[in-house]
Amino acid sequence: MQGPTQDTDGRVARASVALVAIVAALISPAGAALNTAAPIGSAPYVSAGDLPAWRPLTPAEQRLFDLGDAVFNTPFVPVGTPGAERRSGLGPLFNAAACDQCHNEGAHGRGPIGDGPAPAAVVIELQTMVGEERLDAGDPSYGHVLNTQAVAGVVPEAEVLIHYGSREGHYADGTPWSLRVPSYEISGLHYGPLEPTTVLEPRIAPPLFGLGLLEAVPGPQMRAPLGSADAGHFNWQGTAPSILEQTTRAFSREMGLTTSVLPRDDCTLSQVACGQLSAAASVPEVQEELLQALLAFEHWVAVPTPLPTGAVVPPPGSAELFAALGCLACHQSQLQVTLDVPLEGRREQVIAPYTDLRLHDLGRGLDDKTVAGRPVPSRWRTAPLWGLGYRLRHPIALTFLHDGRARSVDEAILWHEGEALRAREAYIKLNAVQREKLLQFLSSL
Amino acid sequence: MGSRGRLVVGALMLFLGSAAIQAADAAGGCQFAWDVSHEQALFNGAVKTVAAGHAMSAAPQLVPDQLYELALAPQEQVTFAVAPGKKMLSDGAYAGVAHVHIAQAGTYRVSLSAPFWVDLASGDKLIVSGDFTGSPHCDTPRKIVQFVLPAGEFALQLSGATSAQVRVTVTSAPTSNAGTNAGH
Repeated sequence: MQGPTQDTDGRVARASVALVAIVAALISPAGAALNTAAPIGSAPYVSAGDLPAWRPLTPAEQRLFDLGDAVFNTPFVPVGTPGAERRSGLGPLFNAAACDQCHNEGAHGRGPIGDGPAPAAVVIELQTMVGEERLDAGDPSYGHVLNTQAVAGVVPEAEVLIHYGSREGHYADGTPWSLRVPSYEISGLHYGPLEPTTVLEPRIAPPLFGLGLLEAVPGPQMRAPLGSADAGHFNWQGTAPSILEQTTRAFSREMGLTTSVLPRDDCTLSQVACGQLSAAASVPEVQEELLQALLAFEHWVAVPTPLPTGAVVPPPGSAELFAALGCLACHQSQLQVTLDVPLEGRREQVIAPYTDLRLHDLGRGLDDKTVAGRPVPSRWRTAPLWGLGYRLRHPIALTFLHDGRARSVDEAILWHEGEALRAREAYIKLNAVQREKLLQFLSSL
Repeated sequence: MGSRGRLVVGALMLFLGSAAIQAADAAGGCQFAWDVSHEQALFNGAVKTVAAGHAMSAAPQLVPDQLYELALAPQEQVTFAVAPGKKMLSDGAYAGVAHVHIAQAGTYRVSLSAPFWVDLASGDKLIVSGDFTGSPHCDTPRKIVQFVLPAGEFALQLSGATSAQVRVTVTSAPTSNAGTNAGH
């Protein structure tokens, strides 16, 4: 879909890292024996239609990156569309026709701005509770994602409406706050009822920033997600272990596009027309060359630096405030990565993603629920904060947390409970000047 | 139509039956993030059919507040004033260009009956769009892109289309964009 476009060539080969380096040096987690080199990964997003890579690319790599960028932006079309060839295969059931429709300009999904139909970037993933275990088995009638669109001859699975209640409170200085508490209305269920034990998981499309670098973080620091054998670096709950798996899942479940890795659409036995059309389509629908190009694009796409470079300087003491609140316990300023290809002669590098890539209990307020209404204890991968400054400068329908309920960074912090309760309590004790100072620091990431 | 139902999870409630069908139908209609009543009125009015240009030198002039049905050409036959703002695969795609004159600076909308890519260019520069909205179950219109424009001449470029025709309007935007989640 449409989004901001610019006319300037945004291809910047090498990260511009000075600001991040200064901040990271200030607030490296205590005791972390990290490389003292400047963090890698960021580059100015000069043109939102032409995202940069985080490292210099060879001409062949640049061509692959550009092709992947094109695949990312391309709306796929149903089988049988005349001449569509490489972009054929959408559906039968789907949520969006292009990656870019949800991960707009690679930055973030456009979140819900109020009551009404769920925006395209918010999908309802479906998982199954078996006893106390949450399994990635999907709903028997609806599969792994509730698909709100379909090709001709197939009926979409349902419509999703969001309604918000509110949760009120105030800071220690008396300033009131109000949080949006979402409820989800699933209407027009066309293939029978959902199973009472199905877990409804509203999830907004996250930014793509620095995915390849997150994948390069060594794995042992992961905890296994509740109820899942997977323990990955990706997804709101770390359920995808690799960019490949996350991408092919999204193709299959949200776009109805088969790949060499996931050669099946997400049709269920209840969905006869879906199954028939899917069986008649050639497999894979996403040509291998295009899949590899998209993966390369996702691997190399950079983290945006503040623009213009160096213009956003966090106020003195703001980084220390972030640390003093305890945010660094999870939003770690630096992680070590091991690159496949050396950068400036070294495979071992440092990134500044402001995440530990671990799963944490953030309290019952964020729990998913089953169809029967049972809260399901949920743990969340610490959301990377790098690129937050860029997102805050492009605030169209900008929302936060896994379902986009938070309308501001402030609200997102206030939803932190569970393991983050002490940090939240410390934040509530800040006065308005201190809160603004913290926001300025976050805006510099 | 099979069984249809409505389910509310949060403060959880479950409804089944006719009320649910009505709710589903209402949600499935034309819903946009903004007030698009002017654009919808135009899309339900008289239409003027013209051939889009293969190049700006042969492009038609479009007038604001008029609904056009543009006949497009295979994209490989079209020469754009400026390369489209996003890289995309163009297999089987249609495209076309047109002139638009904007008499007074302001915020304008380009509305399309299908979710194709649209750019506005001034000289050799693309105009950065401000925002967009869309309604996937609707074609009157389907997609609307908003631009802040100075007065002047612009190239309207359509690309990546999956059909050889598209209906288009150019309109001045109302002062407020208040609306719903739809289209985001």
